[in-house]
Amino acid sequence: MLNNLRALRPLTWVLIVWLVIFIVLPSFVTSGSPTQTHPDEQLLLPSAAYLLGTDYLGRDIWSRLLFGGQNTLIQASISTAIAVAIGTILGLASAMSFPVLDRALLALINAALAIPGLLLALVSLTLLGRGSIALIVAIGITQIAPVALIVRMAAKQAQLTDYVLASYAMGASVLHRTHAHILRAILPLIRTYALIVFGYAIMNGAALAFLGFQSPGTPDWGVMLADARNSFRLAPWPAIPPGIALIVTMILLNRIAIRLDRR
Amino acid sequence: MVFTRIVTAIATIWLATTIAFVFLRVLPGDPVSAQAGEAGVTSSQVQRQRELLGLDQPVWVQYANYWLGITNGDWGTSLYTGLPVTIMLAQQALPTIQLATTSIIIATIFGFSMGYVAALANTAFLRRTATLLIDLSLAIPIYWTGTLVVFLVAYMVDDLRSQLWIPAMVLGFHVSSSLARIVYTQLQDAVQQPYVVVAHARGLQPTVIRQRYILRPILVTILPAVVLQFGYLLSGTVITETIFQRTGIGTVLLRATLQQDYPVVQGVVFAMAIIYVILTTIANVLATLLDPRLRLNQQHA
Repeated sequence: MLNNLRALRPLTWVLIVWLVIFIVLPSFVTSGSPTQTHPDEQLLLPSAAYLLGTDYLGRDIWSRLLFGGQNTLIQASISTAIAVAIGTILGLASAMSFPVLDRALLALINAALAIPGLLLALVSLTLLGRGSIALIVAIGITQIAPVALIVRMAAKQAQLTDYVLASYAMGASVLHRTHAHILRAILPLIRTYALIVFGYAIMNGAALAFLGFQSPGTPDWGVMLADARNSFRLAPWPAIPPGIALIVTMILLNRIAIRLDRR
Repeated sequence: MVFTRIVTAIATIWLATTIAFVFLRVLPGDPVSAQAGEAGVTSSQVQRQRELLGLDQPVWVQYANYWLGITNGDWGTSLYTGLPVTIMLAQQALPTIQLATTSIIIATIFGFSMGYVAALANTAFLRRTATLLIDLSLAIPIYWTGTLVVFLVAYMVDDLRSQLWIPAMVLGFHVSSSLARIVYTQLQDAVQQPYVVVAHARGLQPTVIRQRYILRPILVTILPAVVLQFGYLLSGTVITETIFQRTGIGTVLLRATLQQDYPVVQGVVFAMAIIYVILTTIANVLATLLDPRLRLNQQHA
């Protein structure tokens, strides 16, 4: 574990620190509430009392940014966990089972890919309604098929390696082969792809929150951007912090994913 | 060969529509009771509405009825407007098609130039700037650029809703980022190919090498990739139409989702699955036409 930590490159540390700031810090640092409105202090410019100013309802943008980051990032993490877990199970099941089942699952995965991600999320949201849990489920669902497709492909390749064939020849059970050899072989790929899925989850989660699928008022980067549109002509600054936060997060994730991919 | 392709295409459309059907019936929630909650109508009225929509029947009967309707050209009726879904979608298709095609043209031009400059520009400064621009365009959310552009342009343009070019530029810029990424990595790969090195060693003109040895082979990968950007383009139109307050399929879809108007959502999925299958087929055919290796494989198979 310690060795693993030492091997991390600076960029990865930056990402970890960045995520920790938003996930852990809000509970300690800000004195202001992210939802408290101040009717007589609307659209204030940044000051000592309000580090980033206030929005159109007089809420403290700085604490909304922190708590919003916490919501946005935790939601995206849970969606990613759902998508990666179910996608990996489906992909492995497809690769390791009989040809008939494999083809059936593959057809299903391809059909799901025929529905663009955001559309699939909107389909689920039609009945799930609004709020954090609805968003987590909807975003998780959209990424299952891509994960399954990639896991299936990698597992198929791993099946052809000598040590897996040897294990097969020695009579190891399917479960043992999957768990001990194939899953271990494709784990680095899953890790890289999880990072990409995490990026999509943040981007799409904020997009759907922006479009109105988060409960109104919730601190969330997407909601903050949507709220900022209300006052944009009068005061453009509430739109800047959540936008920058999203961009920095995405750049960090993209950079690390590209580097992991090259290895 | 052609036969398998047609079967796969039909199976994909059928499965994709079925996935949407299952989601819209199995996930918790019920459009009619949701409507009833808002309007405060009596339970007998809810019951009548459910019967009218066939929601009281078993799921498999609803499923069979849905496909029976499709074969008759009946895609269902909107719960809100009462209009047939086919008419609602047909009425709104034009603005979305205009936005999508303009955006994809802009995206292709912009993505190709950015990727080209990032990989092959003469000075390191240009290459680095283009790479940075690609990184940024991948990271910037479209709803953020859109909001900023609306703000900036609102002072210069009188009626933003009638503009096509401004939203198309915003959407095109975002779709171009992933294209630029593909062009960039492909070009970097191509430059290092042995046949390119040999061509240089033989003393061929650099421009000839670029056109014939570097650019032509990567077109095989890039043109299908352009076609397949469609999914992203559709998601983009939903957000772009909302920000710029345009009419179109994206707006219809968003409103239907928020109102739990599931026949409309189901109709959009069906239409998208058909378009997706047509486009993948075009992408495959393009790849075959452009790549002699694929053509050869097919003749032997």
